[in-house]
Amino acid sequence: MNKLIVAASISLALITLGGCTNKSVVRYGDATAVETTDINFGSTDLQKVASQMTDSLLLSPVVGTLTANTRPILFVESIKNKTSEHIDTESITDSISTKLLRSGKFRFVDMGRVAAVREQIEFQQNGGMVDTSKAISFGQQVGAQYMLYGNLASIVKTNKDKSDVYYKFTLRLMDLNSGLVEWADETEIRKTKEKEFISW
Amino acid sequence: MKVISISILALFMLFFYSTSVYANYDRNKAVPVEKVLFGIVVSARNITHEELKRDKKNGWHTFGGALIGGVIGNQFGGGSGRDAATILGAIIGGSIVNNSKSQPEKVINYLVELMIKTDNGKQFMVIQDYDKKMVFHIKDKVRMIYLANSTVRIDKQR
Repeated sequence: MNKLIVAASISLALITLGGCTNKSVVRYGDATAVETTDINFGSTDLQKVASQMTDSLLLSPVVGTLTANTRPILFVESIKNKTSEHIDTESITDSISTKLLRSGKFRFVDMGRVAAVREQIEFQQNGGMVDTSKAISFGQQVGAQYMLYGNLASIVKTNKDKSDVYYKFTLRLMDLNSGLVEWADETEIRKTKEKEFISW
Repeated sequence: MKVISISILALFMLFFYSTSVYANYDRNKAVPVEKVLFGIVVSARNITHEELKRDKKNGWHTFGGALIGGVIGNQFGGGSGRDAATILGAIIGGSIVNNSKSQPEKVINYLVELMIKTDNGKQFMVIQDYDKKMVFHIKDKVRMIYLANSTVRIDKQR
């Protein structure tokens, strides 16, 4: 009887201890939820920047004139990252160009895929597998009329109790024919992190 | 046969008594920046801390006047044929100055020497820790980040 009690106690203890072990749990979350894991550039900042810039561009009177009777062709030059952080700025421009395309007011040429396009056209022309009468030939593409480009800069201040990060994202639209900057806007983000003193 | 055995033993000893140290830069941290230059990698060469120390003893014949502890380029000169400023980057693997302590095992700090040509046409040679997470190759587009703590770090643009 004593042995049975001891065995039962050990089993109970093992089950209890087992319940205390760390477990990793995977959950799906809202992709647009505000992310405040740390003070560094995050998904919320990317979404805010892309959304504000797109809205500003589409609502601009100058752009309204440009897109009144035609869908201008744009290309996106890389965003110059002037912060200390390794930020995927291509992801910002991807979001902006996708929103602009979905507005139906602009068309884009993708300079990041020029090598792949060249390879495909060479394959169609010289690969011997495509009907040459239907193959796409070189020299038929249309060029961009406008260039979208910008900068992302930051100012960081820290002391032992507080950190403050200020981001400034600037975007510009240049007419490649005239060299004129037709539109520009900037958006700012300020994030602070303070130590909280918990009182009982 | 004896020589081969000794060589194998030496390699065995080196394998077990040396520790490789690689940097792990925290590149996703918001810290103060003084300026950022953009450019491409003209050449990339892996070196070790030992080579840098040896060169220091020999009067910087190879790495040409890189300054200890961080900043920042002084020009090659005197008709050496090289006109790149040399920058000792944010080396976090250990100080070159404090190398007198005898160590029970051999610690190899890996570094990378990068020749960077910036968009304004200037060339800089930067030596920083080798980071497995960001390995540089020729023609890589890079950012040369002058951090406010008087060090420089090279990051890929993407």
